[in-house]
Amino acid sequence: MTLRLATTDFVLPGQPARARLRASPSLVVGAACLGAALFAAAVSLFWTPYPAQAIDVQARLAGPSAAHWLGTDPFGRDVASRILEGARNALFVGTVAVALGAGFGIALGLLAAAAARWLDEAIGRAADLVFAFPAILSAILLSLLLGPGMVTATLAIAIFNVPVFARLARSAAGVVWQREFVRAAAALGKGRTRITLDHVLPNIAGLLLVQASASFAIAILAEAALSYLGLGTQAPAASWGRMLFEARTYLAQAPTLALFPGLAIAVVVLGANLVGDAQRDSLDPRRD
Amino acid sequence: MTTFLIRRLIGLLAALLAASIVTFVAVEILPGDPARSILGIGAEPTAVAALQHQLGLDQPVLIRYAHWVSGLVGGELGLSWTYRVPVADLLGPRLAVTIPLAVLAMLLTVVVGLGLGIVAALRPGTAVDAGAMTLAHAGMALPNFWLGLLLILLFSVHLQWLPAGGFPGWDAGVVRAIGALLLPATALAAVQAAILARVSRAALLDVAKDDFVRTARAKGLSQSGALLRHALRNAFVPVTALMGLQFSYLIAGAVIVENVFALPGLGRFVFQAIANRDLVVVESVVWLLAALVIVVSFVADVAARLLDPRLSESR
Repeated sequence: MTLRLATTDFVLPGQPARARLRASPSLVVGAACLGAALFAAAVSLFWTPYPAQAIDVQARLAGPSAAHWLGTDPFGRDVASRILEGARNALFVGTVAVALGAGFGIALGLLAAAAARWLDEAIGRAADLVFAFPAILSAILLSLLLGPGMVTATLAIAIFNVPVFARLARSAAGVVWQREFVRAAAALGKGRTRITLDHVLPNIAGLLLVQASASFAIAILAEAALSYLGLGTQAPAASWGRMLFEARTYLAQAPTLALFPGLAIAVVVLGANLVGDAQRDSLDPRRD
Repeated sequence: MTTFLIRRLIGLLAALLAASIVTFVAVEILPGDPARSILGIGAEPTAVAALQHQLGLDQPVLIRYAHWVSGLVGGELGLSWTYRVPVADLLGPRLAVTIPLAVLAMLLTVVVGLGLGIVAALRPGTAVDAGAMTLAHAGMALPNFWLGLLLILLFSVHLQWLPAGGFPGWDAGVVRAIGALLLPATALAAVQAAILARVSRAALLDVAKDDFVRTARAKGLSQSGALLRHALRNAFVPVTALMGLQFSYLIAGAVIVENVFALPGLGRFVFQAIANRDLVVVESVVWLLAALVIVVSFVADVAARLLDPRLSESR
């Protein structure tokens, strides 16, 4: 509903939705935030200050120091190391969930736009229904089925994203299908599949990328929330959401425990939102 | 308008029914026998069979579904396996926490979000606009449970103004009850207020370019006057549609925030039910939450339609 309102007005007839990304302050700051998270995730594959799971009871709940840059948790585990490992898990879940949701959603949306009216209607209704189950509810149902864990969280977020992309792709593709050059291609005998792949998809790709950025931001938030609730990444693997859950009990004793994982989440989400904004601006035909 | 309402009502009923099917099927295909998990591994087969009969688990799937749906309609949701009382009796007190929490959060969202959006749109390109939008960007990046922890740290641990969690109940007085909901509602509202601020600003600035606003300006109204008197109602159409969606997110978010603040609402209830494998409760609560989302988006849809001045002649 909102997505249609917010985005389709950028695809004006005769105005290709492909545009070059301009280096704006949003883009620079956003890319820097995302780059930092990506760098942290990559580094954690080879090196962390301490093994992220190493328990040191003597050093438990220590504040930031030269030995432990961001302090230690209730088990004496190094917070900096766990934040680095958490980056890897968060980015992995976020990327896979959005890729899966976008893949299925876009395919369904394009199919609905190209197909007969009844199929279009059926896909639309199904998307509305799935939309009524917020990711948290799908995650609850899935966790009953599969047990809690990273796979459950990824699938729940992916399922939530399918109708988001399906609706967007459907409405944007519908506009492209009305355009002269698509009608001309159809009149020349080009099949619906070819038209979809050659003309429709490239023309809506920009919009879909904007949505992918926004969805990635939401996926990072959702992964953290599910892990906080114990439905996502499981201990002892590090997850920003779980770290915040563990910090809850020690708020008075060790407030910094609740600070750094939250900051990490905020930086990634801010980065994805800013990059999405920059992409959206570059698509807006009304910009000067 | 009547045709539109009838069509939307049929759609609403279909969606509620479909949600019941999805929920029922999801719980139904779960592995394991509920009767056995209640009684434990060492239970006598005869006792298991008796409990299965008592829970109605020995009946065909379609009959059980029909039974459950007729229960949903009549308010008879079955017996909770852990509490041994009707689920409907358990839901009342929890709804009395979750619904006020979501409504309070929605109020905060509308006041702060619309306020920021309008203030920014009245002075586009100024420091006020930039400040409001920076705030909105920050708000959108804050996970609600993290903001909840930060609020507890500030207002409960350091300043000791508000409780860190729990709910005294409405019997303890409205002020105390709302006091307990204030921090969770703020944590819940921040992201939605930020989104609403951005969308309402964009919608207002969009309408500001329309001819009727130019006409109003030509007739001598100031830019702010033209925006507030003429553009606001038009800008409200997309904003109302968004608010319906936001209420749904608030209900979903309540599941998380109730856990942060140890509030005895539907969200905490469903988590305890999962831990106890109390499937009758899980089934009913998940459907109820989905139904709330569906009904609210229906109301928002109809409201957006009623508000749209371009469609008013078709009423």
